[in-house]
Amino acid sequence: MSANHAQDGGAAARRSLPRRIAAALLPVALTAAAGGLAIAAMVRFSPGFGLDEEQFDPRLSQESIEALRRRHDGERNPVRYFFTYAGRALAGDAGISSSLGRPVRELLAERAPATAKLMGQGIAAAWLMALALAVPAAAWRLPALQAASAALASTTACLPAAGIAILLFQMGGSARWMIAAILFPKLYQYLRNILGQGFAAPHVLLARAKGLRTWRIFLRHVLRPERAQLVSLAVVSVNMAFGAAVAVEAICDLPGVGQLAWKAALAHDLAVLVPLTVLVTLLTQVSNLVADFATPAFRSRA
Amino acid sequence: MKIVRAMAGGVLLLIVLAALCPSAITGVPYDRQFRDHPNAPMSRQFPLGTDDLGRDRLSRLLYGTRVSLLAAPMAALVSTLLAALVGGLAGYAGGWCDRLAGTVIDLMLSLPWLFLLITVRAILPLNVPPLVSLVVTFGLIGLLGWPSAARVVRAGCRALRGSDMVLQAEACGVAGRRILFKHVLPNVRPVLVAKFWVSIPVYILAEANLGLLGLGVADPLPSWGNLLRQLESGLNHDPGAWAPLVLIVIVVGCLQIARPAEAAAR
Repeated sequence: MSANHAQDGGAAARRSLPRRIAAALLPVALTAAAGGLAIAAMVRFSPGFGLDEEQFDPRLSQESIEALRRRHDGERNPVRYFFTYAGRALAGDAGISSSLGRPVRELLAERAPATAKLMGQGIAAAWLMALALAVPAAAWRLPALQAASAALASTTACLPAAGIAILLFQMGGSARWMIAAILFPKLYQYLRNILGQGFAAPHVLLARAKGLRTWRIFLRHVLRPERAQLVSLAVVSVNMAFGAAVAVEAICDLPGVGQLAWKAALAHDLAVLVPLTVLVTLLTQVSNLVADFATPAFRSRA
Repeated sequence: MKIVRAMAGGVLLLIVLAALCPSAITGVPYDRQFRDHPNAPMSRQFPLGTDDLGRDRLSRLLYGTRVSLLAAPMAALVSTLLAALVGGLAGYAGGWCDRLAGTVIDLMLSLPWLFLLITVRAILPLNVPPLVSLVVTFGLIGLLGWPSAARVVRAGCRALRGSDMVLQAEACGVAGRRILFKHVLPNVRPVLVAKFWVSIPVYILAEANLGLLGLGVADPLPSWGNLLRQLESGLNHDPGAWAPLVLIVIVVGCLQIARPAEAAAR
């Protein structure tokens, strides 16, 4: 009887997973669309919208100036602009950047791999740094090490992201280490708390009393039960890394998506800002969704 | 710990006093240009040297400190009030109001803070008088900084909506607006106070980031952000150019140590 119930429950859970995913994807899509619409509306109603420097060229005839003005006619209604844009984007045409004069799709395809690589390397380096300091501090509880690690993390947290980028740039540091240094204080703080709780758990104390090696305790009895929280932290670090990439790429003049966002913002380039906002919102929302789905799975296995 | 907090508070007080009375330390106006001494090194006349336009760095640092230390709490106040209003209304009213606020909060929190700031700041005019740029920069930081606090306030107000206290007030015929402002929001005041204190260092760093990327307070009005811009030029071997960065670390560190216990707990 109970076996039948368990089978029924398992089948129900399997059946409900696609529905759960579909139900979760709808708000993600709506939030991303709302982000694009909000940015389109803000750019449309910003002072100076529709004015190009070319319009003030005294050599141009009245017809040419009118033609330049009409170039922004399609962008005057932000709702219509956004939905027309979304329709074209779904068909594969993401528009043309007004500041760089190139297709947005081409720009994103060209720059996204560099930013993804930079973010990936930066996140990996930040996690390594944070784990290298947080694990010994939590496992061996050495006051000097704890104080030194906390002081390093606190000092880094007191610096602006762009300031860290400039500081490391002057010292000859690479961009990935700049991202790592920007992410490190937050990751260290969370990791120290998560691992501190893990090492203080009663079963860990028992394992210590039985003489298990610290690394075995860490891998088997601290890291595994805390997997869900660590996955959530990894997801959050993607969002943080993109914010850091904007500052680092702008300071170091690296041709990535972060620099594209900065340049597009300075040039009021709606054609680049709208897809970027939608993409960043989608990236964060989908990452959160993955964490939401992964957390119960890890908890049930732990 | 109390001694450390007292020391941090003392250092902050000294810095605030120096920023409020810069003329007691240096009698040089922040925009005066010594054209014979551009890029001067540190000396008795110019303790932190001069910038490429021959302006005294110490004077600019003190006036910039005043700008950042006065404007950041103002921005924190704006964002805290907005968080109370949006979070309180959404949590207490519930229904579509709650759902709408939830979507807006989710949207704003899903965009990285720096990306959001850069995008919205750049949409606004950049070539404006310095005082306007100061108001725009810190106003924007305050207007965009409310979602995280609003989420906590919303949860707190939602929990209070079903409390005996609120039911009693509703049964007595008290108007919803009065219940919200007189009975519900005062109960989430500790969250708001904590949010206010936590926001100040965050907003100081946000202005510094914007200034470094050329989107902050406009020259010649000094702020920590635009003072840091000189690090991008070739003057970075001069130790005086690094003084704003050192001061930011000291002030933000002291603010985090000296903030009230309820803010530190969050």
